[in-house]
Amino acid sequence: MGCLFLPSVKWFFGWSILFITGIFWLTRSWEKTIVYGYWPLSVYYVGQLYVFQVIRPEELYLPLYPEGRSLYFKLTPLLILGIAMIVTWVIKMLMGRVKTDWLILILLISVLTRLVSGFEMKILPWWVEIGMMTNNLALVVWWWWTSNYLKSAKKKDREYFWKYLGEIIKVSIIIGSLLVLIQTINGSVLGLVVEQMTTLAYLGADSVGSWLIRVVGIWNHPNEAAYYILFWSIAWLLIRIKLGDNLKEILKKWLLLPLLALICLQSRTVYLAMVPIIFWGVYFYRDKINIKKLKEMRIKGGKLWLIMGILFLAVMVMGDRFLNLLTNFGENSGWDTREKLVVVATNLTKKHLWWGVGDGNFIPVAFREDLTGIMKTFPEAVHNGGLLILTEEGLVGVVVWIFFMMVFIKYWWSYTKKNLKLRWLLLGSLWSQFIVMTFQPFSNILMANFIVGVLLLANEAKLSK
Amino acid sequence: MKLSFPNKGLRLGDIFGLCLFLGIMVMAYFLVMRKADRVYVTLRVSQSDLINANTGGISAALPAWYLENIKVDPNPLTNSEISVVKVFQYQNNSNEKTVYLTLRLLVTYDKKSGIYTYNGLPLLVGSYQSFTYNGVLIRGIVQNVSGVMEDKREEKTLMVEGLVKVENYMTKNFVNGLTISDSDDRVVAKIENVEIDPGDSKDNKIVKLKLRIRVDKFDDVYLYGGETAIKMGQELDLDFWNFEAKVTVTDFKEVLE
Repeated sequence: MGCLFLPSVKWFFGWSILFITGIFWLTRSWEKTIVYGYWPLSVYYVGQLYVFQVIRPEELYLPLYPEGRSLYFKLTPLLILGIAMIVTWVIKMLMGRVKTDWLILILLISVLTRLVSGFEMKILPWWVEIGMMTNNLALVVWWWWTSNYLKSAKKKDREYFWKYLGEIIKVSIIIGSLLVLIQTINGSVLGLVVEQMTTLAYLGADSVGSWLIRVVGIWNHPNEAAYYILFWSIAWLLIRIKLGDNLKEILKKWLLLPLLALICLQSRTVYLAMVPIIFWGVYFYRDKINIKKLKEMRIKGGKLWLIMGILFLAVMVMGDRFLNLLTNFGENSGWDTREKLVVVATNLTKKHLWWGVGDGNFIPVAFREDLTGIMKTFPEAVHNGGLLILTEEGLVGVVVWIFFMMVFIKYWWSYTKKNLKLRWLLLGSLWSQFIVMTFQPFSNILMANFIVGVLLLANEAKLSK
Repeated sequence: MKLSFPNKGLRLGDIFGLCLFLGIMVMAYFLVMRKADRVYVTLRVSQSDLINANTGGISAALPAWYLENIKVDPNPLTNSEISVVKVFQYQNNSNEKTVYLTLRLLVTYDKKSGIYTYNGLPLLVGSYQSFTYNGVLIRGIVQNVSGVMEDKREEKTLMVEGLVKVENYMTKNFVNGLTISDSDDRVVAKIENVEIDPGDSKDNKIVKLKLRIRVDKFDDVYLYGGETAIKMGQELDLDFWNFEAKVTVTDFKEVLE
């Protein structure tokens, strides 16, 4: 949390060195430094920024993009840790101390296919493509390090890990949510080094005139912020369920922060994505939900005002947002724009079927090759995660992801035979992810729920032996 | 919850891993990391620079006062990323307003390439750049970045002789001592002498002028208003407060101030 108030990117690099060295000092182990150090560094996307302008402002028809459109790359402390992780992993592999894991091998193939897709189009310089590939590879290698660690660690060490990961995710949720709430009260970003945006951008016609400002937290867009806060919360819940917490131990006061933040972020798709998780909760804790007891409860004073306030805010915000949705069907509306972008994506897919246009390259390639003209007025990626993956990573990339999902679900199904609560929480979260990806330009499948899920499999694999 | 880590002795492989991380960090610091700095950037902004920006080619000329309204920041040495230190313009052409802005920018410097970057975009002399300042979009050509290029221009004064054919009613405007000033209130052109000769018809006259003008000398070329080359037989645009005269240069020589 201390790094929130660092004055510059250089200080963040310094803080990262101290953090990693500190973990090493405590654990006396490079393996544990990686296992414990990677996640905290991945929370903030802070580093030396490189901007590549791909569309000049005068090429666009609307004044919403005064600086045109650019692709971004950052040299972050996480990338440097990633390089060190990869090199030491290769050495470890050569020394034959690595256990193979099917899921991770499939993910390695996915990293490779994304690299091929990126190099095909030559949109970004080679060193940026290599940097992006290193970032993707680093996550997989961290998974591999951690899975390997969990498979060979003692029970006590494994318990440490899960408690630590749970606490780190909890702190991440609190920080992310607090920043959203403070920005909402402030009416603007705060100018912190960890914030991605320096000003709040235009967020769609249906957001204009809203009585509650939409902020972004440490992310680039309110929808992205809500997506991350929700899935971090699900990942935290997975860990708590795995540790065997009961409902009383799970429902803590701090959960009001992400709940309020999610309401304030006004993301309709994330509201919908919460439905499977609510269903999961109602089904598995139905015996704890006693309507008669609830009716008899007498809530007074501050608690009553707090509950009333949150309910009022939720009804007002959600009602307003869904009402906007119902009145937003005309020319250039949200629906209309989404439909046009689907046409653009379909055309691109036909042309670049096998390898796609490259990870993150939808906007520049669609702008270059689009004949419909929509990219001149709305230079954004197609608002459907699945179609975005197909367009950017091609059929090869999609097949690899489908294969990964199938293998993952097969393993998950088999390892959670005795823990249906855990099984259906993760499967419900996949459904939530599917809902968000259906309406948003998010192509990142490996969200926090997946990351924790794969690690749980590694943990369960050890237990089942 | 209290977290604790099980400790054990150090192994060579563990030390290697940490040293590798620190080594890459040090290498990145010396080879890749850019230095944050504040530089002064001269930006040439004209009305036509703003035409077509974000309109996809549809003509959308902005009024002249748009440029004139850009004001110097009252406290330019603040910590803000961008501040306007100076606004300068020559009154040389009423059809195409041109303003020179001196901006103080927080930039990063890449030692290897010798390039400054602002908000991640390279700040190249001669490139078109967009800046957002206090809710105003400023777009123009980067004329200079402090420390990147040496400004070879020298300020000189010229005595220029020229003539202009005008309608009879216009002759009364040409009077001795009439001046044109820049935005710093310095006189850049002054009529020293006026002679009026008959024209080729009864409706017009030939006005012969002697002018003292302030120019920039760049190699062998004298530039009026920073841009118009003074050459024999060429027209010189003089934008007086109440009329504009296109004077054909018949002679010029450098004088000492």
